[in-house]
Amino acid sequence: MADIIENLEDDRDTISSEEIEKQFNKKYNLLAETAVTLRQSYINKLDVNQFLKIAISLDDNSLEVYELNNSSFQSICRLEGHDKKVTEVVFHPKNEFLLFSTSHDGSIKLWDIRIKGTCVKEFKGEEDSPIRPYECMDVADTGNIFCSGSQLVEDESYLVFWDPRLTNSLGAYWESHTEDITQVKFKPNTNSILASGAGDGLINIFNLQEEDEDSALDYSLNIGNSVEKLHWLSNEELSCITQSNDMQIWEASTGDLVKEYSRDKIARNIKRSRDDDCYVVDTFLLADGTKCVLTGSYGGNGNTLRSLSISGKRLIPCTDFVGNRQVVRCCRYDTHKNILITSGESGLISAWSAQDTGCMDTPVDGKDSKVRALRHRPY
Amino acid sequence: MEFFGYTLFGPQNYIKDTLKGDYKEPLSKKEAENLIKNMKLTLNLRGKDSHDFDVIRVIDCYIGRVNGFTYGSSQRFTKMKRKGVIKPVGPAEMYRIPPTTSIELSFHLFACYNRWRRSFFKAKMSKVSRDTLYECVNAVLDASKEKQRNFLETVEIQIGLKNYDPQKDKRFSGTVKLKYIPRPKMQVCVLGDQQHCDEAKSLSVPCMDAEALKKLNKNKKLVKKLAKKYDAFLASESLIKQIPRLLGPGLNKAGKFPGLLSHQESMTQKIDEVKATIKFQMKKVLCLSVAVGHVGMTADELAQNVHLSINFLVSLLKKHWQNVRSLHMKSTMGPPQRLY
Repeated sequence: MADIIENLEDDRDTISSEEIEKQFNKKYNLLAETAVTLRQSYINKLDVNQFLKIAISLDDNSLEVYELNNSSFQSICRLEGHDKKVTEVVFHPKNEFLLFSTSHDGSIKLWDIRIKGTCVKEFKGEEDSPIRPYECMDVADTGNIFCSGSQLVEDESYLVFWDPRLTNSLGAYWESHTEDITQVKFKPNTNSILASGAGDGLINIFNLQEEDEDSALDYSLNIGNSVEKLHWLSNEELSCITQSNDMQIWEASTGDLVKEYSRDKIARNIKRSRDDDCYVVDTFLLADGTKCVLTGSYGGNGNTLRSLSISGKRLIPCTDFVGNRQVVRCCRYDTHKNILITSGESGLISAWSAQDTGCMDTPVDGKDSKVRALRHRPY
Repeated sequence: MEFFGYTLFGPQNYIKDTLKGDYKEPLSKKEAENLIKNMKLTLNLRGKDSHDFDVIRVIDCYIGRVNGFTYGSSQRFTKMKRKGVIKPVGPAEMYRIPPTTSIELSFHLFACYNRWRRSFFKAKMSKVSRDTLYECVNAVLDASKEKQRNFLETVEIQIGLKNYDPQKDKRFSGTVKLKYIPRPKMQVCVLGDQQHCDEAKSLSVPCMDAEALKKLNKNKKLVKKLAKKYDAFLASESLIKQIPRLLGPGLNKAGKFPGLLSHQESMTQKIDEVKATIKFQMKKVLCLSVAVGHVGMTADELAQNVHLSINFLVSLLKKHWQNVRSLHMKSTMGPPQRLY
């Protein structure tokens, strides 16, 4: 047996750059980019609504809201008021001006971005119960119910249900998870099916129409690892990113595992040499219904960002995001305008727009200089 | 004599030649502010701090506010020079740094040489040598032999982390299958269909079928008792989906939701896999520990398990070995041994 060695080899592309350009054939241009603060800051969470308003959470417990106009970001407001780390920001699905945020301080706040910087409503647990630091939340597409997932408090982790109009909770589930609940996601266009993922390696699928937790629990899916991100790819398919950067796709209506993609497989498919530098951001759907997964590499200065499309059970190279300057934490895709918004560990928000396939014939140079002109450049 | 504009003593005109081609001296306060802002931003992106910018922003009664720029005025430059505040802020933004000089050995090859050296010498840097590993393993085993306990001591590794902010950085966790089973006494129960139950009975593995589970009737106490009796569960494909329906969230609550046992894999292999799998998970503190074996193992077996689990852990960390502060291994009652 050999020594335990440190692998100092740099992460690099396994194929030539021309080949990459050829294989990652869906081109995206950097449309706009903005830095949130001058200080070094992480953007942990991001949400985008259909009017391209962008809400982000910063590591100084504040939120900021931006709007994407044609090709630039415009700051709308800054929201302060949480005492501890903000863990999730979500727009109200029916009202573009309402914004929810959860925090480790145990409160959920509802903000109205028209009344700048003030909290409209605060949702808190009962007076006598211990503070539940919330990790995540989601609002159902119908807008009349939302759910938040808490960390482990006195050996219980809670899924708490709320009505946006009431300040008291509707009820809670606490039997199904044994670790911090890291993700909750309502099934699109319903308010009755909920998927929750936690650190104990389980995804639970609840049918909220049932009266108690015992009968509401439809399926428990054993991921075998802590859940980092959940996303409903369709009415049936649920994708899950684990904390060790693997991806799994589950059929939520039958409880079957469709396919598991390990970290080294993903690294191979984005054509990078080191699988332990590869990270997986999230999955998203393109306008034509193609399922995509956004991945990158910590190697070098962390600028590599690529996406793969999931076709059948295979991963196919999709886009190489040239000009990315950070390790990306979260992304949202806007299907109306074909824009991908990413944010990450350098405190930058970037918008990527799909390049029209019709104008593929124009010389690349001209396009490059256009991108350059639009891009925010340091000097 | 000069090559490509370089003389033996470096650039011919040191200041002018190392100035960036696209650098423009700011001529108004606004331009200067923009420049400073961008410089700070690039510094921040590179992970360096930008305190220096604020340090030399002094107010002088003759010149006014000084930020290091002269706005193209030689008069102002002379005044600033007299006051000793001529230092341009962030010189790297104006000049091509390093301004290479030919005095350094093969200056034009320097970049290539560095890359080559890195890939050649450092690509494999030993962190824990084979000798250290065996030394520690033997020390742990000897300590347990010296003072025999009434139970089989577990051996665990403890990892201290650095350069990691649990508030900011992503959490990590992961499972890995070790080569040798660290917890041999672990009891696995099979919740199987007919075929699996028959197989389990022939292997004398505890098993239950759907009928037996139905008899528990979602009774919380009975489910809890079942969960307590075994350390882990495996379930057949058809049964695993019904478990929430049959038993409610009881197994979830105990943290023992079954793993999948398909008909393609062999049952003994799968059970061994469950027993040999360990989970790394970082909670809110900067250290974690995980059981990798027991003192009944040979030194070789233990060393291989440690080797495997350390390599896996390092692959989970964002900056790999730069995130590892320390590595220790110890048995339940024995003294800790430092690996790294």
